[in-house]
Amino acid sequence: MEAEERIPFLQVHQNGVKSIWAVGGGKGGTGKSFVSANLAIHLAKQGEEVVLIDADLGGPNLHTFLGVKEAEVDLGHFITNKVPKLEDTLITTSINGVSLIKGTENVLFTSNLNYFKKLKLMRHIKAFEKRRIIIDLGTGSSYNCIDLFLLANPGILVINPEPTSVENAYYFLKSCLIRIIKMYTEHYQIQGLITKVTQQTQEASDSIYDFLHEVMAENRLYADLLRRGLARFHPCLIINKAQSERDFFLGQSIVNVVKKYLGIDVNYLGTIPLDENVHRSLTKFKPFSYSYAYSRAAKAFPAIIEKLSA
Amino acid sequence: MKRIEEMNYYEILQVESTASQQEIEKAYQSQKASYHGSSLAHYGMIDEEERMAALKKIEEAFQTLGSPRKRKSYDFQILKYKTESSESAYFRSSTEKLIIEDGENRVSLGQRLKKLFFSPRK
Repeated sequence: MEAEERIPFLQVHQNGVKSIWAVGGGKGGTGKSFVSANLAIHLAKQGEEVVLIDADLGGPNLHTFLGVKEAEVDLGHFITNKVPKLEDTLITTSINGVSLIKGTENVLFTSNLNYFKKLKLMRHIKAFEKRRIIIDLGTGSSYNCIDLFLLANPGILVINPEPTSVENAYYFLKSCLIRIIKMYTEHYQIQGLITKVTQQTQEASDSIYDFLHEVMAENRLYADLLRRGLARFHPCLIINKAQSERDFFLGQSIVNVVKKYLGIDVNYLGTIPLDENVHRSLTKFKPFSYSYAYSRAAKAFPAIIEKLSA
Repeated sequence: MKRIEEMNYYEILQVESTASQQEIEKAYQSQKASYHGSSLAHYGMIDEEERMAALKKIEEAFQTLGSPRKRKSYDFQILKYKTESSESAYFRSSTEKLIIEDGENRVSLGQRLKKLFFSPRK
């Protein structure tokens, strides 16, 4: 167990005191920033102090959902060592209880965040004194996105009822599995598997299922080790922008399919209906859950938070 | 991880072996909807052939578990198989740590048989 504690993925999962939620999901435009912002607003309404971190390194806009137009400091100041601590980049928002680390607009620099800077960022997020942290992740399945998703307890997938969104979410989940296996094999120096995992990530020749099956079958001891690692991965799921009755059933169906074909237990948090008011609140630079507190979309959040906090 | 063809009927419907008939019916409807041609849930995960195979397995599982009489006979078969092979082999070859972790949730064979044959089904 001592050795496992050095794996970042496991540390937070074993620590039930602080909650770090990371909102991701592969595809762009699914509403990750919208969900992050409104989870924070609803937590703040319940009296919590929440830190929102815009870790969309390629195109941050979480601040816009909170009505923040500009800030003197942002994540870039921390990444480029202009401030010593991540906490030094915190700014207050108009919402009582919600503070923000604004994403940086220095896209070229931060979207290619190197390994050591990423580790530093993760270390500072974990060391934060605040109890509630929500990380808004960027698009795609890069290691930067996945590592921050795995740092959280839990990671929350936001999916739209569209084939492209579902497809990208599955790709994201498969990438998470590969990343977990890679972390374990590298940590425990399981040489044969390191080669195999590296080959898989480079060539992606086999299906994820066959690959996992082969790894599991090769060595009983390693298989048990990986099984334990994978069993700790419990992402959550939100279906955003639901319109039809069919969309409201999609979440449970995805849970069923992921369990059967990837062996992952996904916790389905609920569905947020498509709401034209989201667009209106954005154009007015007003936080949605304040401006349209009685809309169907805003009303979906308390139940989602209840499930997340359970 | 198991392939779908290696799963038992409970694993296919994703229910506990202690599930009520009502829970089995509900799980069957949910599984069937997940692999329906119009569902988006399988998109990007499996191809059409696998989807049809999954649906066939789901129907097959429900044909048995949906009938209390067939289910009782099936339960007896899988319990017998588990006792003779997988479960005991697992305990023999696992590490001490894993036996402790996984053993907590395991119910003894005697308890399971008692539950199967003497608990009233809804």
